[in-house]
Amino acid sequence: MTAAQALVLHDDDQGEDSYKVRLLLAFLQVPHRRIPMDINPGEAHLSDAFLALNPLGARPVIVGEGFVLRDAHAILQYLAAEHDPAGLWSPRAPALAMASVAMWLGFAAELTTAVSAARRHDTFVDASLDAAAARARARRLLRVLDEHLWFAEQEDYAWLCPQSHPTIADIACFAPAVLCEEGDISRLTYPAIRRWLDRFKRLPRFTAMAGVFGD
Amino acid sequence: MRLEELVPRHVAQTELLGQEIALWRADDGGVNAWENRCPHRGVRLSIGQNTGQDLRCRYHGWRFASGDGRCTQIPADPSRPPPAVLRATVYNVTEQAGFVWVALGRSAEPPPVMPADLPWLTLRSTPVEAGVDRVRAVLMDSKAVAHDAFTLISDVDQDGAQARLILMLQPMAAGRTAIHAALSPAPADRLGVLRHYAARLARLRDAAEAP
Repeated sequence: MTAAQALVLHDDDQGEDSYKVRLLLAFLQVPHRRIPMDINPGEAHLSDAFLALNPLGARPVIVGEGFVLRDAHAILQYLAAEHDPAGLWSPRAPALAMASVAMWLGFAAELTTAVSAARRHDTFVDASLDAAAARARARRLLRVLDEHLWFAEQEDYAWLCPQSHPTIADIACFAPAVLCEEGDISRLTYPAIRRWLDRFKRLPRFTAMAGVFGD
Repeated sequence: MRLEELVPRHVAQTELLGQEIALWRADDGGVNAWENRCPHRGVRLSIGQNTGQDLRCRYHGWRFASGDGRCTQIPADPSRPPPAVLRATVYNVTEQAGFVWVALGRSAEPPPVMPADLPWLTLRSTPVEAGVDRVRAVLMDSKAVAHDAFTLISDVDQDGAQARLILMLQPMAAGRTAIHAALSPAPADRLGVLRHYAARLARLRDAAEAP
């Protein structure tokens, strides 16, 4: 068995972060085994076995030959470095391209936190979350994303970073952006985001999930 | 909406006076503005597919033809053609000066202050979470002159000469307005000017949204 074939994904099929990793696994055609987690109502993320893999309880986690990796964006970086030798999804040069991906990954983390709170409040009825504050935060971020993508189009770039190929930053922002309406955050006033979502869904080997339409 | 944003095989979504609209361009260039609601089950057509000739509803795959909005296919009932009365609600559209103009009732007329024969640079449209009266008041504070209820004019300095900035207000819904803007003549530094006005309109948006 090769290291790649030994790769195991502990997967939350409703979560934005797990979706990001499934998307890149599909884009790069990485052989792996998926272990679906029963989060709601099973709370598999609070089990001793899962907390041993990730004491934070956050999904997803990947397990390979002799390593455990948590944090969706770290996993995206690992998969790109290991399985995309051309560096299209996570460019290592020029320096500004690499930094631009890192910058939008940071943005995506914030957007995911906000959208996830709004979605879980609405869809999974978690009343402990402040949905109004989460929505307001998500809308501020989506406004920034829409303006950025509008100007990217004006400069003839289809993606977040000034590259001809999408990067892991697009994947990291796509998941929360495409799921935000489940958290009662309308995309009506983000037309450039809507066009970018369409472009993304037309990528070869794009995979949908519950609540996401393919094309 | 800016015409440029009706990209191929896309369905754009907007709102006019509280009425949601699905906007799309067919492969033959025809622009469609329809009520954003499938006549079958009321699902938003803006999540549907622009096939190039018709719009396919996401829910049950009913297809509606570009132009008259007539239902051309019901996948669940392939044995007979759909009844002629089945159609999407179609609104009047006009394409002019880089924008598509939609009217819910009468014909869609662009404001006469935007002559089609002038070279217009369409700027980034700015959605504002404030009503049209509030937005107009904020724009007038910034020295724009009201031309009519939905149009303002501002004479601006550009490349050492005078240029005309037109601001058009789209009342999306109560408490939501889009500011569309165009500049003539088109400037030399296109991208720089686009950024300049996007930033300026964002400041005006923030002022209009301030409590």
